[in-house]
Amino acid sequence: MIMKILTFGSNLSKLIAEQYVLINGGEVVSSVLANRTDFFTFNMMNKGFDQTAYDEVLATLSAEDEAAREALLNQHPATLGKGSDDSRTAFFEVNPDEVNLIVIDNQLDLEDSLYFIETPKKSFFLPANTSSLSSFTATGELTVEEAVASTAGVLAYLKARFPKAGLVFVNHPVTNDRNALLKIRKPEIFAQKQARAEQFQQGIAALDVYSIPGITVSRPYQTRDGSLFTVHQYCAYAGMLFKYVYLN
Amino acid sequence: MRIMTFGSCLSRATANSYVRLFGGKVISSVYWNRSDAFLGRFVDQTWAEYGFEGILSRTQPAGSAQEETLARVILKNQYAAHLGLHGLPDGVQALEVLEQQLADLVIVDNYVDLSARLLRSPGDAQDGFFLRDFDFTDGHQPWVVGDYLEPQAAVLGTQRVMDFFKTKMPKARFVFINFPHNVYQGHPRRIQRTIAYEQLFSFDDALVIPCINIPVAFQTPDKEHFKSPQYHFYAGMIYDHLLRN
Repeated sequence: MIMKILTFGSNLSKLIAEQYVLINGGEVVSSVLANRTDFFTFNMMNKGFDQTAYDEVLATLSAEDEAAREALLNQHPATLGKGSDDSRTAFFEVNPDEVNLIVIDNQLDLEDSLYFIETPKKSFFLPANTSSLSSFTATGELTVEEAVASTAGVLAYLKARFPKAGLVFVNHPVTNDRNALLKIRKPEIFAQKQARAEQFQQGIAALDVYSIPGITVSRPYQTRDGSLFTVHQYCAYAGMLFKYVYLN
Repeated sequence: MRIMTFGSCLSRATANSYVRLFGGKVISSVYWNRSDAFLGRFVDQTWAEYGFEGILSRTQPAGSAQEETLARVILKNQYAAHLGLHGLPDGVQALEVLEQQLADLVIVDNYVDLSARLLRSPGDAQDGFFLRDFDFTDGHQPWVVGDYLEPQAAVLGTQRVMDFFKTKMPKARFVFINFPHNVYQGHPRRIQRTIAYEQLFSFDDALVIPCINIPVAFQTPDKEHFKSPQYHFYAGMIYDHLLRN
């Protein structure tokens, strides 16, 4: 079976899908990045997207905030899922019957805040290293209850929109190089993060979705960039996907 | 997770990757034993044992007294005293693992059954050992080279080996990996044997991993060895299997 894959979440789901395709063929059709599930629900599912607010955020960014601009491309309905290199199809232009596998992860819902200028209703995700971040107000992270509830809504929406697709949810691992240091220096904060991830995982386990647990990433596969791992780790996840597709 | 492997570098490297990713230990690793040879020597014990030193004396000598030649390593793996100890200084001899039920997970692959032809004395019907032609100083005579195992015989042999393991270690989990064939372009008979084997093989309650594609990016100059991420792909499948079954 040739897999046509849609990813939703962070680079985790995107890179897993890319490794899967490298080994077993197929295509990553579209990769939705930088959308927290509450943002996606309000702006994309419920069509609450506000062009004026979007333009205002863009205008507030500094010239060097390339990563933020890239992230914002994914937060506009016209370029959602497409990426800056045009290699992917925009989410709303994907043929719904074409997609047969969706990979989702919860990194943004677990770890990230949104930012706004005037009202929290018009918030956007910006990377933590955005230089003009101080011009915005942070919404703070979602509570786990909020995150699980909006994830459940997104899952139902994706299932309805892509009726032929299998769906795999990947619980983002708490362990990475950045957090490994945190574990040593600020064990209480690490414990909070871990508890949050575990609570999230329990919430997802109660939903009707095939999920991969938040595994511990061993040290050799961690990188200094807190959210990335070495290719070995993504290959291991891709093996789990293969198992889901062919051997269940 | 205490892991035993039976087969080739495929099952061993997959086990190593599993351990690095998820923890555990490789405790025993049987190499270079075709399924019929393992059954003949260690299960049914009907095969004649050829003298180790006699065979070794005919092979290329080591460069120094300390050095171990690959011929010696391959041969040692076929004798009870060293069975399962391939590259494992604190490993456990394979029959000991079975008797004491020490493994939680057994990973088997069919590389040796697909690849090896055995050498035997002219009068023997089936008994034999495995060495490569170029391991010998002056040819393999008087031993004669047998045929490859037919897929059906290989499948039945591997199933019997796995049954033997399972009887000894009823609580262990089993994984079988079909050795991939896309790396054998230009070797049609090898590919045919591999596909026939895959179609015939099954084993109750085991995760049976099909022949997957090895992308060029993860191939190496040796057909039988892949780059490390490929073994992590296999290890990911095994993790998911143990999680859900």
